[in-house]
Amino acid sequence: MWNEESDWIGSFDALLARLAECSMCSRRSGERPGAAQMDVKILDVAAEGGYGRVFRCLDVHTGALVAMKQITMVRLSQGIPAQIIREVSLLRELHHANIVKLLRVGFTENRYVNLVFEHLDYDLHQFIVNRGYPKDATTVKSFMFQILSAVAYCHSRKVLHRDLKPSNVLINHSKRLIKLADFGLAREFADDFLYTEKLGTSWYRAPEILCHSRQYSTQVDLWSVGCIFAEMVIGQPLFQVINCRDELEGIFKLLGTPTEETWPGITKLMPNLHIYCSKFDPLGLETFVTDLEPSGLNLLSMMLCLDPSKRISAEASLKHAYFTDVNWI
Amino acid sequence: MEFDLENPFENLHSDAVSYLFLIESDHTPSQNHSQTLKARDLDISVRRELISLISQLSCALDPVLSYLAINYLDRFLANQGILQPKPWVLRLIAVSCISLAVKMMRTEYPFTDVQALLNQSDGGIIFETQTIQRMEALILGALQWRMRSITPFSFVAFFIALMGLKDLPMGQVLKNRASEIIFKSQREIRLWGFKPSIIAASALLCASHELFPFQYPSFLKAISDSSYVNKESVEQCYKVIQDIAIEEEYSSALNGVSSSDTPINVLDHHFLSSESQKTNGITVANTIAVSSPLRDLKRRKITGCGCGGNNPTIHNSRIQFSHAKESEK
Repeated sequence: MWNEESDWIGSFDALLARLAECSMCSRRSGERPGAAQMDVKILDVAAEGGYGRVFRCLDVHTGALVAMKQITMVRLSQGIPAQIIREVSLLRELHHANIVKLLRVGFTENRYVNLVFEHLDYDLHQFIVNRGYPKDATTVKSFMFQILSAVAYCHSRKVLHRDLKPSNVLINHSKRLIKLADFGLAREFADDFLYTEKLGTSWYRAPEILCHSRQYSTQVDLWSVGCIFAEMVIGQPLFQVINCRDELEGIFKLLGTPTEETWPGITKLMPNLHIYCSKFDPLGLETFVTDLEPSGLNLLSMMLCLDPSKRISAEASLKHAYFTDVNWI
Repeated sequence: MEFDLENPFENLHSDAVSYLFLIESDHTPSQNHSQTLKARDLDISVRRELISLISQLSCALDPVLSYLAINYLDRFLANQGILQPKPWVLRLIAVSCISLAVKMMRTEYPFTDVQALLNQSDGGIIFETQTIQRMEALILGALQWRMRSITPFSFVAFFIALMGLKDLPMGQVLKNRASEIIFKSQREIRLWGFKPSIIAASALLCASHELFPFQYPSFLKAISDSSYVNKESVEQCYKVIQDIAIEEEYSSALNGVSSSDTPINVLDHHFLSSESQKTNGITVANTIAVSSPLRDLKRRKITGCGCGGNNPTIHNSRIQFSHAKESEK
């Protein structure tokens, strides 16, 4: 069979040529590999991670600033990573003012997948760390409203984000505009009934995930948004403030160890719950989240609710009294 | 047959309904290409062969996953066609479609197991990861990275609710039978250009006509009254699905007919079907070990045929039907 190798390669190249006009894979024959193939000029490296790198670039057609996320495929045993396929597929069909716009996708040298996004100035993590947390209550409220609008939109499109945290919330400085980013862990509801290990970043992970529940849904995103809300107010991660061995202990310290009354089904979910029993009376959110108006604290408590079935939805959050004085027309 | 299929519309905003109906055309092979494809007998036979390959290779996986893989295949064929196909190219396409479906649907599946499963073969080609990666890239580009699972299963729960059967045992019975119909009819080229929602509605009507004939008129009215559904399309699709069901019964009646001039490769196909069936009860590793030595393979082939009581000379249609049954268990 391998005698046909040359013909096999020829067949591949013929197929590749037929894809030259595909609008999502902007490739042109004759151009050298790299940024030029993506119609961008690289300015500098904006970030590096385990996945690859993010470059700040200029779009050669429009002159606009863009961000190019380059994911390395070499040495991966699974071909094109599932996270990339998910991120592109879902972002392709999510169009909202508060969700980052994916402009182009392409391959270079069969080694990299390149995703070109609109550029935003910084992320919420940088905003909190570098500028001190926003003392302006209006900014917190505006940011929260935009985050919840994006989350409500995703959920209405059957998409869970599953990795909401400040570094995945991007900010346009001049407009104070928020955009959700990094949908690599996002997925459609259809597959929400399987547990995924180590999903999300630890300080923003919902208790039902930490309990190894095999069923979870949109509520996991609302827990993460609640953690972001608290962090914007107090200037650091809420569950970093609470000294604890693990995240679950921190959650129970803050909100109290759950019982069958407060979280029906918890003893089945956590047979080892007894190691936390009677150990923690709730410290209460108000102990740590000071300087938040009462209606904000009320909304936060509905987001950071232990029982996922009682946790507030993104849609309901937008109608909460905390936002009644918001005028975004 | 029990399917635990998604409930995309449960607890969602009303705009989620219109959203799925809005984007489903992007996940359907083009109507124009359907006409073109029908005029090319070669591509129709290629499609049939590819569907058999995908069903074989993915029979140990969730049936919805193989349905999604075949959806990718159909959209790829609509976009690219495959002229002068070679067996190894067909197998590579089948493997790549399954790989993409696995990546899109779930991350929990141990990937080494999927890889081993995809590469198991009766002396066939084992593809290098880079080769699969390149084919995946081709398919992603051809499908413009629209890999969400917008299939008829995405719409079944909506129509069940429309028929007033949500949370009723009758609704579950209808859902199961409609799902069975959807799986079986995917092979049929005449359904190629119908949108997923139309196929879902038609399958439910066929199921209700078959199981609950006295309620059929009210179900028909409920679906016809929906502003999301084109009544004429449903009527056309319904007729095709009914024809498929009739032909299936006819084909089943001919199961006993045998032919003395069956080509040897048909026997191989039958063996692969039997072998695939056995995979359901044992680990993939064992399957690989069993299938590696050629002498053992031949011995198993003979034994398998004997145990099954199958006549060595088997009619082609019987094999196809038999395989279809196995892939749906």
